[in-house]
Amino acid sequence: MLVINDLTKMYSGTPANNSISFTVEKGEIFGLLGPNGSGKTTLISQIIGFLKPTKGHIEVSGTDVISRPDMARKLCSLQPQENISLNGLTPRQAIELTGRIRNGNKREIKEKTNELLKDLQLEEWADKQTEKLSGGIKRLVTFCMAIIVPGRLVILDEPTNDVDPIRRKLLWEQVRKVANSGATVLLITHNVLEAERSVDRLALIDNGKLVGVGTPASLKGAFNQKLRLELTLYRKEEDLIYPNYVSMISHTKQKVILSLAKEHSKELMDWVFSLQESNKIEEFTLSAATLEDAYSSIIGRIGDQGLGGEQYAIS
Amino acid sequence: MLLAKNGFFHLLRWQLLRMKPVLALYLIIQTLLAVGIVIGFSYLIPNIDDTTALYLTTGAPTIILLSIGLVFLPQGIAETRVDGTFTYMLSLPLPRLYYVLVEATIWLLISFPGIFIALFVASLRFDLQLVYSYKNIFTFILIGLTAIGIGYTISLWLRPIIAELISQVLIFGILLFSPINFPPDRLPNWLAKLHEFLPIQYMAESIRATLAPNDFEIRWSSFSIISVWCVLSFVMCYFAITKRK
Repeated sequence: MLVINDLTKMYSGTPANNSISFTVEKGEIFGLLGPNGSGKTTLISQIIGFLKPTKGHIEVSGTDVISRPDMARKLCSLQPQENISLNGLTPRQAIELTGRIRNGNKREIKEKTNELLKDLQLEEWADKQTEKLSGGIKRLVTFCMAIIVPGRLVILDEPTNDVDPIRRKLLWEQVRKVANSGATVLLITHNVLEAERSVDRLALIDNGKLVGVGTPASLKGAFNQKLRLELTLYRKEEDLIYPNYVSMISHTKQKVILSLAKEHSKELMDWVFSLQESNKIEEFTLSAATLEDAYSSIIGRIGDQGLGGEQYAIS
Repeated sequence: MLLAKNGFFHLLRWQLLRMKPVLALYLIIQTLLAVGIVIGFSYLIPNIDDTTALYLTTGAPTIILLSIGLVFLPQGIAETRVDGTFTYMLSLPLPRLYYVLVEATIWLLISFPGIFIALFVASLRFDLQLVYSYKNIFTFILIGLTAIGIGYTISLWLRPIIAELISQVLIFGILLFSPINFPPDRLPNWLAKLHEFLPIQYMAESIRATLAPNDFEIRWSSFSIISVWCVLSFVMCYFAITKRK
């Protein structure tokens, strides 16, 4: 459905996308994961036809969208990263007009708009001016605009930003519905936990390079066999002596995230309780390793090795 | 029919709704500006003879249409470019020129009441007999489209902040240094020469000639030059709006 091959976009000699290749199947929810400035938005801007690639090939539903940007706009529907200004319009008007512009049938658009507003619990705001709505509600409105008449490829750029936890869940249900109806969903996010729960497969992008493609489980790879320990320290500068079977995933302010093999869980608990008794930690959480751990590890390693580091083949 | 099928009227409705909160304000400002130009300039010139009065009155529509195309429109576009709305709208499956044509339709509709009220007030103020016919409407539309085409091109080719600044400078040049409210022979030679290559003087001439055909001759060469500018500006616009970085 979506084929990206050797895609490169240079800005004054610096690659924003560096020889990226992956394929997404019809009906799949595919995540693009990467830190800020890693080149995710540059990538979708080339799919939708805002930017022209320096090199490479993009195909949506069999159409070369680089040579046919007009077709790209027909084949793709987009929820942009920023909350666009819909001043003067109500959510209902904005959703219905987008549907009509995307060639939807008037009656069907009306019905589907009602359905979406109801399913996402937006009815209360449906006929209010959008300038009076909160950021999260506006975000959901632009989400509805992207799926009211979905393109063959639906591109959602950070759809859950500012959205409350209850409606996030409702939003993910809608995303799955869109995929089940046969559209392909390309989801851009830097929320790793959400991506892990919501996508079928994902690509990790860092510094413009693809550093991994696969299912969340396969990307976790060796981390599937590991545990994750999160410690909240009493003091920022608490100097802990770590046992040799744990490895550090991250250390920010008073939070320390460690990874360890499952067989060390018993001795780990002794160590954690001793930390608690000596008032060095406020609380701890032990869980199965998450995609976030694998992500931090992969992105971290790439960072250590610099831009020229080899591409991780995790699939 | 083709326009309806391809979403032109949906985009028009979208933009009208977007402008709804300020639409009435724009209409009022346009009308005040138009009337103000006629009355205000008459204070600058103490003893207004019939020819001066005719120049002032028939110059008002040109100033309104140029200010719409070169000031109001670029400012609106700069705002939507900065907040990301402009880029989002371009992701919709619509022919590129629709965006320009929709803006042109809205701004022409906004400008017409002001133009006719200004002409009516000026006719009373200076006791003038103007001629109204389909030719006026045709001329206003041609000149309005040209001004909008040029303004849209400026808005797209330049960075938003630069486009806004340029539009401020342009209106200053149009009001004071363009042969709209006075004949070109009052300008220094170099400026008069420059105006021979710009469309402003021909716009003013065409409007004067259609509103007061007994005093000014309708010159088809003026219409031809404006038409060339109109086509050129829309071609430039098309290139700017379809350009991919």
